Order: sequence, then C-alpha cells, then structure tokens
Amino acid sequence: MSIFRFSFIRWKYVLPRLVILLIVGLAFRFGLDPALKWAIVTGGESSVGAKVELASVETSLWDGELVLKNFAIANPQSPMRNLLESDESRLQLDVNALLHGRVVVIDGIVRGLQFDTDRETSGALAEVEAEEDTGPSAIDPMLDMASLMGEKWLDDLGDRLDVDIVDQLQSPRLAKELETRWPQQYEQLQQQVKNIRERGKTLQKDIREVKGNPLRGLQKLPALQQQVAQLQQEVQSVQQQIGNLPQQAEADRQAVLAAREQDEALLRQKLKFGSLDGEGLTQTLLGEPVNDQLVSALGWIRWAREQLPSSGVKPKKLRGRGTTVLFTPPRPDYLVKRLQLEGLAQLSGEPLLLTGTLTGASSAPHLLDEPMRLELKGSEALDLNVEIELDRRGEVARDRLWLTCPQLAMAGRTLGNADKLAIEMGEGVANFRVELSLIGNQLDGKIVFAQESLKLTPRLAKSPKGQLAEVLNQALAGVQRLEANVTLVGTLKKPQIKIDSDIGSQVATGLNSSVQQLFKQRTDGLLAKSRAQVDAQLQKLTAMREKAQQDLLAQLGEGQELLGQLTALAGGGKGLPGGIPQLGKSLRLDGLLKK
Amino acid sequence: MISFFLRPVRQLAQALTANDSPRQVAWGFLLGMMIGLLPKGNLLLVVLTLLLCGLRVNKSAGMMAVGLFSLVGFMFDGLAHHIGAIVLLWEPARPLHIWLYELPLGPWLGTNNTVVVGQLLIGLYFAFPAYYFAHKFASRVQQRVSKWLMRYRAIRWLRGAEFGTHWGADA
Repeated sequence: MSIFRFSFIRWKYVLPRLVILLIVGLAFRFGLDPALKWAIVTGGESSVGAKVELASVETSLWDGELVLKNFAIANPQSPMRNLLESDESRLQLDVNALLHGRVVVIDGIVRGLQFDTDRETSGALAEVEAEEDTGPSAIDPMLDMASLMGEKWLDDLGDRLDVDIVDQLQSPRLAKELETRWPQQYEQLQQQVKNIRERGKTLQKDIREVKGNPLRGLQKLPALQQQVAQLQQEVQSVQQQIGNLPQQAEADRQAVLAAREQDEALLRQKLKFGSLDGEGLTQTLLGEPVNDQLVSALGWIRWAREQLPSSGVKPKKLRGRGTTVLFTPPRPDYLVKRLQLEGLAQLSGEPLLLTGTLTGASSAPHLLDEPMRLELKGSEALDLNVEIELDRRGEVARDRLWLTCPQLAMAGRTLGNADKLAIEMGEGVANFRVELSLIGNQLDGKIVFAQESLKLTPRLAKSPKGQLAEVLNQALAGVQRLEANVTLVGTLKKPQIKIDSDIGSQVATGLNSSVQQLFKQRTDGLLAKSRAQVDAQLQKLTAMREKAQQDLLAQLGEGQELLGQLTALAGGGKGLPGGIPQLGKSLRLDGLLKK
Repeated sequence: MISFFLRPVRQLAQALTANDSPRQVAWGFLLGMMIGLLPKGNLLLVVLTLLLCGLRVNKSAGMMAVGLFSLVGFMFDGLAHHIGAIVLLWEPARPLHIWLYELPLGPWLGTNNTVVVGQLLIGLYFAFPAYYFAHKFASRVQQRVSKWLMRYRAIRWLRGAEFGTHWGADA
C-alpha cells in the first residue's frame, strides 16, 4: 500500500485517531442539527423569558446554509400569544466567519413572518413577576381634568336649558300685580263715590225735612251743615284721587318698563354661557385612546431596547500568557448583514402583507459602520412604510422610528370616555405618520394623524333632551376632518404626551356656536313673550283706568251736583249760597233763638 | 498510580534504551522542546503534539523535553513577549500576520499572541542547537548507556512495567 511508504509516520498512532476523528466528524454532522436546535431554543428562552419553539433545523456546512422551520417566540407578557412566528427562515452563513468563531448571516429570507399571533398552549416558562407599577402616566391627571370639565359643561348646559326662566322675570309679575291692584283701587274709589252719593241723598232728605219743618229741625241744622262740609271735603279728596290716577298709572307703567329692562338683563345673564374649551375637549376625546396606545407602544419599545446589546464596549477577557494583537478590527460574534422578511401582520383588524429588509443586526453593534436598520413595506391591503434605525455605535444609544401610512383604514371607534362625554367616530381613511427618536432614554417624537370625511355622533351617559341633542348633532355635523399632532417628550418610563388637534376646537366651536344660537333664540323668544304679555296687560290696564276714571268722574259729577244742591239747601258755606243760613234768616231764627 | 510516579524515570530509561535512532531521538527532543516552550491552548501546540505523536520520533525524549521546557519556558515569558511584540508590530510582516489570522481557524492558531510568537521564535532559534546536541548525545551516549542500564534488573523491570502499562497491567 502506497500510504505506508510514508515510513516516518507512526501509522499505528495516526490511523486509530483518524478513525476517531472521522467518527467525531460524523457525530458532529448528524448531531449538529439537534444541537443547534437545542442551543437556539435554550438561548432564546433565556434571553426572551418565554417559550421558544422550533420544529426543525437543517444545516449544510459546505454551503453554509441554515434552515429553521416553524419558529415561534412566545410573548412573555401575554403567554397565549406569540411575539412573532415564521414558517421558514433560510439563512446563508459565512463559512469562513464560522471558522473564526463568528456567526455571520450574509443573506437570508424569513417567510411567513407573523406578529402577535395566537397560541394554543401557554408560552410562559415560569410565573412572570408583575411589572412594577409606575403609577399613573403623565397624561392621566390632565385627562381626568379635561373629562371633568367637559362633563361639567354639558351638565351646566342641560341645567340651564331645563330651568324655567320665565318664572324669574319681574315685569310680567309686576304687570300681574297691577292687574290686581288697579281694579281694587278703582273699586275702592267707586265705593267712595257711591258712599258720597248715598250720604248726599241721605243729607238731602234730612235737609228737606228740616226745610219742611224748620222749627223742629233747627237743632239738627248745624250738624247737617257739618256733614255737608265733610262730604264736600270727601268729594274733593276723591276728586283729587281720581285726578291723580293718570300720574299713578304712568308711574306704574314706568315701573313695569324698568322691571322689563331688569328682566332683559337677567335673561342675558342667565343665558350667557361659558365657551367650551377646545383644548380640554381634545384631551377628553383623544387623550385616552392616544395615551393607551402610546403607553403600550412605548412599553414594547422599552422591552425591545432591553433585549438589544448595549453600546458599551466590553473587551473580551483574554486568558493565558502574553498579549493578543488584533490585526483586524474587532468584529461581532453574531451579525446579520441582510435578511429579507416576508410576513403578515394585523393593523386595525386588516391583514397586511409585509415585506422588508433587516440589515446590520449584531451582537456588538458598536463595532459596525452602519446602524441596524429594519425597513418594512406594507402592500396590498395597506400602503405602509416602516423604517427603524437602531444606532449603538456611540456611547449613547440613538434609535429612530419612521412610520408612514397614507391610507390607513380606520374602523369606527369611540373617542373620549363613554361614561361621560364621548364621540362616536365612523369608519374612514386616515393619513398616519410617526417620527420617533430616542437618544439615551430621552424621547422625542411626533405623531401626525389626519382623517377626512368624518362622521361624528355624540354619545353621552345622560341621554340629552330634545333641543340639546339637536344642538350636539348639529354641532358635530360640521366637523368633517380630524387632524391630530401628538408630541412626545420625556423618557420612555415617564413619557410626556401633548396632543394638538383641531378636533376639540372644531367640536367646541360648533357646540359653542350652536349653544349660543340656541340660547339667543331662547332669550329673544322669552323677551318677546314677556314684552308682549306686559304690553297687553298695560294696554288692558290703561283702558281699564280710562274707563274707570270716566265712570268715577261721571259718578262723582252726580255727587257734586247733589252736593251743590245740599249746599244750597243747607245755605252755608261758600259753595252753598241760599242754603241753611239764608233759610234761618228768612225764618228769623236769630231772634227766636235769642229768646 | 504506579505509572504516574514511574513515568519520568521510565521515559528517561526508555529514551535511552529504545531502539530509536539518534535522529529520531533528536527530532523527538526538538518537538518536545517546542511544545514545552509554547503556551498551551492554541492550534500550533496541537499541531506540534500531533507531529510528536504521529511521526516516528522518539516520543519519550519528546515528552521529557515537554516537561523540562514547560518549566523553563515560563522563565522566558518576558523575553518571549518582547520578541513577539517586536515581530507582531513589525509593519512589513503585518500582511503575513493578517493572512495567518484570516486563515480558517486562524484566530485559534495563536500567531497573534506575543508570547506564542516569541516562544516559537526562541524555539526555532534553539532548534538546530537542540537537535544537534540531542543527536550528538544520542549517538555517543545512548548505545553505551543502554547497554549499561540494561544490566540492571530495575531498568528491565521498568521496561516491563512500560510494557505492562501498555497492556493494562496498571489498571
């Protein structure tokens, strides 16, 4: 055998070892796939903290190809869901790098990639410790305050519309008082006039009796004279009262007019309504959904960042003697140069076909020239572009996220708190854009959301009554566009979220305008009603007064005539010429009385 | 246990009494010296060990040299580091070092370690003298010493012990 010509080789030693080497090689070849599978599953589980499943691993060391089938990583936060799963991952490895102890994926493709899918069995490894409660987010107190303001505004609005302001008006009340007072007063005057007339008639009768029998009635004469004089005074008093009636009526009318002015002022004040704060309403409507989704998204980002290798340079501990000289720049142990991704995702309930590329993912990103980039493009169901850049080259981690979705199909949803003030938003198409930057833990981001052809309907815990419901519907019908700019600052753990949107101001403007209009209509209507009522009453009272005055004067005229006769009969006083004194003189009563 | 204590004595006796030529003894000694000088844990050492075991050289002389120069090698570490550093940082040799490093399994060769390179160069520097003197020693002494030693029952017993060890008598 020619092989034994190499007599300087100790074949007895070499051959058995070659055989052993061959056996080891074969064992390595056939044991590599299960060993790799075990390593991937074990390493993945220890790093993610949840189950990692892998159906099979196929390797071809000669070609440097690695195929992973049915790979799934469970979600540590939600064990019945997968973080991601893929049908097949075909990776082209750099064999030379493998011989240098590094795993470098030159190129590869991941097919059937899906995110956040359901699991049949729990993916929990062990009981997961509850996440530390960091307390309410920065936006929560603001949201509560805004919700409270919105609720108070609506309650106030309802209350003000419900209250019967007419009861509080003074002019109708005053007019009604006059309507009661004036007839009473006329009745009283009429009674006085009637009384005068009756007393006059009685006096006339008495005087006639005295005149018929002067001797007998002589003693009564002074009393009669006194009664006539008294009656005369009463007539003058009543006459004066009747004469004063127009002035009193005018004074009463002035009082009613003053009361009407007061009523108008009161109505304007009562129905003067504070404007709804647009910014507060924006917080009420958008705050909660935006806050919930952002806190969830930021939680994911924080988790993902924790999984990434830090940017700090950790030199390898060198064992043994001497110093190791690095002739080539240090390179990461694991590197994915380029990996194509094809998969499915769910966005707003819509299936989305995703294709993209992952570049520069490595165990030591600070050693690379380029940052890690993930570019995803959504197609078919939705036009979506996502670009994530994770830069760990410097001392401070710099991460950026861009997301654009010009035609995002939005399902119908409820904005705001359904228990208080909420607005139901119909389906539509929105333009969605996210720019997020993380430098260290400092957050700086902007989210722009614009939805056209909005259909808004109010949703209130207390069903609004007729006019209010109509006002709200009318106000919201005018809002046809929603644009929101969300600014993110602060840190990942304590983000500060500011929402700038015209939805609140649009709704507030619409509501304010409609409510003001409603209140103006109501004020004008009430004032007109009150004015008409008072005018009618005043007119009625004036007519009543004039008639009463004429009647009284007529009746008083009769009384005066009678009084004249009485005075004449009594013969005394200035107004009674030829009265009682003349009668005494003609009867020579003086001499008689003297004797 | 017996084998462990007797191994050095046995190796010396075997090196001197074996039927190997002085050339084989010299090569064995040379390879053993190189292995002994080099720091452990690199592919270079594995290759040299495979050569020592796989080639028809006097393995006992080699193993004896390994033991001897492993102790001596530590004393030369400082010098080896300086020499290695000079060589590794010598700019004209840089492409060669990079080429070596970029070879498959290159990082495990150890050729980018100052002490490995230094000890290797020291070993190569002393290779010829070591070979020469080992050869001369074996040529002159081995036959006579072998005859002299073989007269003693203990040596024969040691050779027998070696033989027995090979066949599992020690177990």
